[in-house]
Amino acid sequence: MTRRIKLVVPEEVVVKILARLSLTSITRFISVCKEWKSIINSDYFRDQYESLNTSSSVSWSIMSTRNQTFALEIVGHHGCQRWGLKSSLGSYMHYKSDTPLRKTCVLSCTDGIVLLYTETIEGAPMYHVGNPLLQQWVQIPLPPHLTVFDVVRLQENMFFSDTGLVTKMEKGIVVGYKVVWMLVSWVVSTKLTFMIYSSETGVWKTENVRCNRSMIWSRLKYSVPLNGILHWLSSIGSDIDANYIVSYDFYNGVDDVCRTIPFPDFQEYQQARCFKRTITTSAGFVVYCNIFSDNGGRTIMVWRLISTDDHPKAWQLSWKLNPICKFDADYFPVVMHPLNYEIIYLWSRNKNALMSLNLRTYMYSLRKKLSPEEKVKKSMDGCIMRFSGCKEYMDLIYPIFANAIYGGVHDLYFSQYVLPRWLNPLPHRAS
Amino acid sequence: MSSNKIVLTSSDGESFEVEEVVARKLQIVGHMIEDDCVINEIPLQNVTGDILSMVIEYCKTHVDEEESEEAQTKLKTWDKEFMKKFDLKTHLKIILAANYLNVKGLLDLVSQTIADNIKDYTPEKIREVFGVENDYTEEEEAEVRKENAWAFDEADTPKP
Repeated sequence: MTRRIKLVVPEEVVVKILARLSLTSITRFISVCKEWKSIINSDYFRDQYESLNTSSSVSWSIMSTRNQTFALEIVGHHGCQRWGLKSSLGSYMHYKSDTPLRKTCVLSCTDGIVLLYTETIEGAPMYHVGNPLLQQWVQIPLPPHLTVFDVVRLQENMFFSDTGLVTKMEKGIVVGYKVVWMLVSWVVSTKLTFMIYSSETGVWKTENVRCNRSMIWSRLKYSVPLNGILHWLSSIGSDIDANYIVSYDFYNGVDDVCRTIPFPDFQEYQQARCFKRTITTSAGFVVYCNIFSDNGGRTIMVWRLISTDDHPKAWQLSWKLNPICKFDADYFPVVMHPLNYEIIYLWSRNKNALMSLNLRTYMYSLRKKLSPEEKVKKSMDGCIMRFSGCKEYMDLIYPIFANAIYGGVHDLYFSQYVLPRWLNPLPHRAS
Repeated sequence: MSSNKIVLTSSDGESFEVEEVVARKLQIVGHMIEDDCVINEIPLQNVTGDILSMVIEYCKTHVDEEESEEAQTKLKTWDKEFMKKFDLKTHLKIILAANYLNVKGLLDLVSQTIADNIKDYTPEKIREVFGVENDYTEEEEAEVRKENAWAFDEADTPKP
């Protein structure tokens, strides 16, 4: 078919206009005509777009994992110019199923893609990897040597984790992903078994790896993905509370040995045990944060992981606020800002408010829960913050937090969903 | 500074006498001057008199780009008011002229103005405004729309 009508507006001008729109508008305008579609999908257009949109402000959400009774979204930060979305990301975290579902939870988020777990009314487990914004979901088949009942049994196993998701990135776009299941044979062990589903091959494969230490595997359910590497919590010695992380690189791993890295506060923790802490990623690093309570005073410390050495010095101390006497209330470290390493979010139970604290300038702001009629306040970058899920979640976990001294529940873990910087379709398997 | 006058003539025969520094803001003219192929009258084939006068108005205002913050703010306010005077159709004519005449500042300004105006448009409205023919087949269009359904949620519902 020949195109009869030529664009009145030449391509170069269309590029100039489109490059100043949000990715949402740009995506909508793919439907205008074939020429606009090819403009938008070109590398030239992406370069133009990046040169005009240098702001680092990107929407993100903190998702609660493995929890189907409460709002999935703990904190939502949306409305950035780049994407121009009017609703928070949490509202995209669902899979439109033909059959009714009794359970949906986010197992992991990384680089704009999500590992979602759902259960049908009959209890059949389903795993999907997807881009929630684009509502593109790919169902991950169960490993061929396992039946549905095997999988259900595995999920009840303390020494099994199905929350691993890692990505391979090229030029800021996900080109491949792996779903990782992990199984250890006993609570204390050096050996681990990975079951890995790769988007590139479309098949599962089993790998046996080991650690150079005997680890206690009591905190397997949560994993932190970053740059193709997964990090799990573990411990050594007689302590069942986490004091180590174990990491493995699923794209560039050269041997079958997992790295074991002690927490930076390994020594102090053995004695005091009065920490609240969180492990997360921020600005391209794995970040560990603790709040240490001492005679009423509280100290916030933040480290980032800079090597894979089996030594507390693998962590670099980035911030130390000592003591945060201004803040008499009881604060829980919720999460670091996913993109800005200077900002931490803390939850105050006494005040029912979320505090964002700049660790460099000590500037902070308290955000109380808004009633629906109130106008939503925008932050400095024009984004909107929502954290209605945060109070519910904190109320839920507080009793466990307060009562358990040795129960291994001094930790708060969430998964961050950060929008990618570019339209990021799910990688297709080469067929 | 040279106070040479240059005459710019539009496609519909309207002539504008402007100072050389103003004319040089039109890079197409600037290049002609550097290449010495200019005496004092330049015919501009692709732009009509009414649009050329707007471009010249912009260039006159921006002729000396002062560095001071105050001057910059003042210019920004002027830019905004200047753009408000015209409708989207005129903005499109201006962007075509700015592109042809190569007036960088104006090109940026009017691209941003147009982007701000069309950001919530539906594809149908875009086709109408830009004079673009929909060359998707019905099935193709349905497919593209389905793939990008998330981007339509907000465009199709009128703003409260």
